[in-house]
Amino acid sequence: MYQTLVEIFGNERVSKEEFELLCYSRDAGSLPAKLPDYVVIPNSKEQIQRLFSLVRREKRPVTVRGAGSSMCGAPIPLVDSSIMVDLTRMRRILSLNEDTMSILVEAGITWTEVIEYLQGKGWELGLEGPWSAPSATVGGAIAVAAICMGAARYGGLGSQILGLEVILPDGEMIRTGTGANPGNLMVDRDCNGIDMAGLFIGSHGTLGVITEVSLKIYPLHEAEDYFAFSFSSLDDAIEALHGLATYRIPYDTRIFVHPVPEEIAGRAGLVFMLKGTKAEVQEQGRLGLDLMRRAKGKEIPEFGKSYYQGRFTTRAEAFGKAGPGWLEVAGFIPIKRYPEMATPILDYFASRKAEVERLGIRWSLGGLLKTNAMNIPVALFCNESNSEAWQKIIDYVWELSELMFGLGVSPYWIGHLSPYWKGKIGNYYQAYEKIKKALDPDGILNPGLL
Amino acid sequence: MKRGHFELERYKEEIYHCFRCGFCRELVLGGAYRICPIREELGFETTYARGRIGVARALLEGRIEYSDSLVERIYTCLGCYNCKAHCPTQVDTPSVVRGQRREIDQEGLRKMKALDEIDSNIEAYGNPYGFGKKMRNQWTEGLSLPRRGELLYFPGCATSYDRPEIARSLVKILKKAGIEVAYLGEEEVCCGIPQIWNGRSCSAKALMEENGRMFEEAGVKTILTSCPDCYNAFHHHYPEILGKQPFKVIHITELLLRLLNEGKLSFQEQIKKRVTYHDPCRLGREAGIFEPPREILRRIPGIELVEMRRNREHAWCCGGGGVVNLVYPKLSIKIAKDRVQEAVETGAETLITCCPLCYRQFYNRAWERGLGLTELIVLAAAGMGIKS
Repeated sequence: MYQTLVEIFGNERVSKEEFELLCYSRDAGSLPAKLPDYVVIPNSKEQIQRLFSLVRREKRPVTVRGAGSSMCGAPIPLVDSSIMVDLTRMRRILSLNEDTMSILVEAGITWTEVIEYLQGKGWELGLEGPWSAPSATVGGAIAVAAICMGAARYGGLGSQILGLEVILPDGEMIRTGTGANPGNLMVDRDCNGIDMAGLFIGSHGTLGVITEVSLKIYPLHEAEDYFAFSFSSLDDAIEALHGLATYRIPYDTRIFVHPVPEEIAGRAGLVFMLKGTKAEVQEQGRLGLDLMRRAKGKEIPEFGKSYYQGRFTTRAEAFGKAGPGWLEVAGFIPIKRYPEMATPILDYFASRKAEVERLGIRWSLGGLLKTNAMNIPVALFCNESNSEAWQKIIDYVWELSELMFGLGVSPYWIGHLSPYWKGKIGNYYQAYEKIKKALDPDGILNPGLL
Repeated sequence: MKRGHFELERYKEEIYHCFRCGFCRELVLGGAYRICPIREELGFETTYARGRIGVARALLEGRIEYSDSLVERIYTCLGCYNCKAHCPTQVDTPSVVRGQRREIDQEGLRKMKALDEIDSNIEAYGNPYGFGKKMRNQWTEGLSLPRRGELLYFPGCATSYDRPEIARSLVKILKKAGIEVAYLGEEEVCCGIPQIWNGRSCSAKALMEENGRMFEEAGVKTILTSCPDCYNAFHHHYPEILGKQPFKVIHITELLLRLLNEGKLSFQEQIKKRVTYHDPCRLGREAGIFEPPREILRRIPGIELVEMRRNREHAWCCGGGGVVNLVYPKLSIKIAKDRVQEAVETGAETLITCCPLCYRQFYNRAWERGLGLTELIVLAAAGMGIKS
């Protein structure tokens, strides 16, 4: 097997060293994984197609990985004997199409590389990528349907995708939407009858390998503004956030329930960011302030600015300082149901206060607006050098999944938690499994996930 | 006999501080364009900081042991500090790597001829090149420098043997300002930096003790360096290794700028050149000296300074750090070529640096591309009408 892989990828792009395999069995989260047998780093689609031909013959599982900056285990193997495919060297910007207001990139490029490139050309992306945008790859984020900066305005990643190029497990390469016509560009998803791109968004790399992505671009914005508010009740904060959503005001907004940043204080904190022309930002700011005042929010000067201006780095700093062991359970709910979901979660931690303190576990409960819905993430942090704490946050994740499902939360960032959710949401996944079987009858791609 | 991971234990907190965000892989943001030169060449996780820390942790937790291939991998780190500079939690990967190298050396697991040669040269001659002691001070001919004094110039091995014009220019500039520096002469020994990156800590300590004893005997209060490696040896590693810091350490660019500001020196000669400045990793990211070299350049009449795409804390390494130039010369040269290409792209006629190691890395590569290469202090001397 090793020799054949070397023939495909070259001697310098294949490794079976144990120390290497160990590092490919982790993502940013704290879930344990199996070691792959080999790691390969392709630099062409042809190499991936040749690999698929090989693994189908050898019945070898394949795990596909972008940056490995997720926390749900999506890019780490759940089964033995796998081949890890590291896509981070397929990272070219293929074309900037100003006429079609789109950019075509290889899936292994990072979000901030695309953003920086576009800025220099007077353009920008709608969504700015997930929390780990400086390292996260475009393809990796699409594979887990990552919630991104800008979700309040643009919603999910799918809203920004005009087309995907995907290599299927049988080695076939397809282009979705308008890109399916060899004489056309990837400028729209909704054609040919079926929105095939949607099939791969959030598929955790189980249905195919995304190799190219066409994303919408927008003229570079003129102005930004940032706000932060403190609320003495969670209900008021959610009322304020619902108002922002209703009038489509913010580019991005999120709430803090536990912990509420010291600078904000109170029962809940809310931050939002505006983006647009100077006139738009001014008007949005006026409307936003009015909504906040009506919901009895107290403005906290400067915090919103420092939070959002460092959005590619300060959030990572905060996560790093809280951890570095890190796991998260998250899902979507109707905005107004947030307080009723938050209360049992707060109770869950209140009942474990002594244990949490003894083990030095830190946790957070917050929320992100995604146009019509709220993402409710519960993050758990520990120092992994304390094995008891580490095991405990894994236990908490499973317990919180049970609790949150019972409350009506629909899962997001499923990853290694998929066996749990599959048991709960039966026929949804049965339909998925039929698709999986049709596209990947030998079950070679990311087996065990979804 | 195995001694366990006694060195890595010292960095345990550092190692567990990495939360695997991967920003050290290829961040492109706010002036940074890629992070790790080695990762850009070799590709795998363990060729950049996140994986290097992952390996250190796996060693600490007893999940792996040092193997020949792992030892080789550990010696691919340039120690350029670009990862630390861009890490959200400032994980000090180069220090962890040095800790691993110390363990490797002490367990007798290092099998690298180039480094063995450095060890024996240092032991026999007090310098990594194996040159005789008498050659060390040849650059002082006609300069008559005292052995004793409060301000001592420590040129180091690379400058003394390889780029003596830097030392001569420096001394002449200071003489012009009325400053006389002391010099240890042929008794001076290596600052210890190669041994620090080799992993041979006992040798580094011995060298530091020997220099330290001579500094004391010479009544030194301040060490002046022109080599960024020597600067860090005395500024950063000396107190770490010997647990004391009995003297002040300054770099010539800091002193020169001060003298220019005080009006004790000035430039008279017009040097009409478009130049770009390469930040040596040891002077820039490690020592935090970014602006003095630029300010000096800006003051030379006729000099137009243009910046490379990656400058200051984002600067790309010359490829020569961390003894990678000795162990993996081809890899090291590829990285130097990348940096020279970046300099060429600025449209500059001349690449300026103030590190003898960077100079050596760029020497042939700049020549191949028709790019001039000059040492900052030599250029400054020319701007003052001084011939080295």
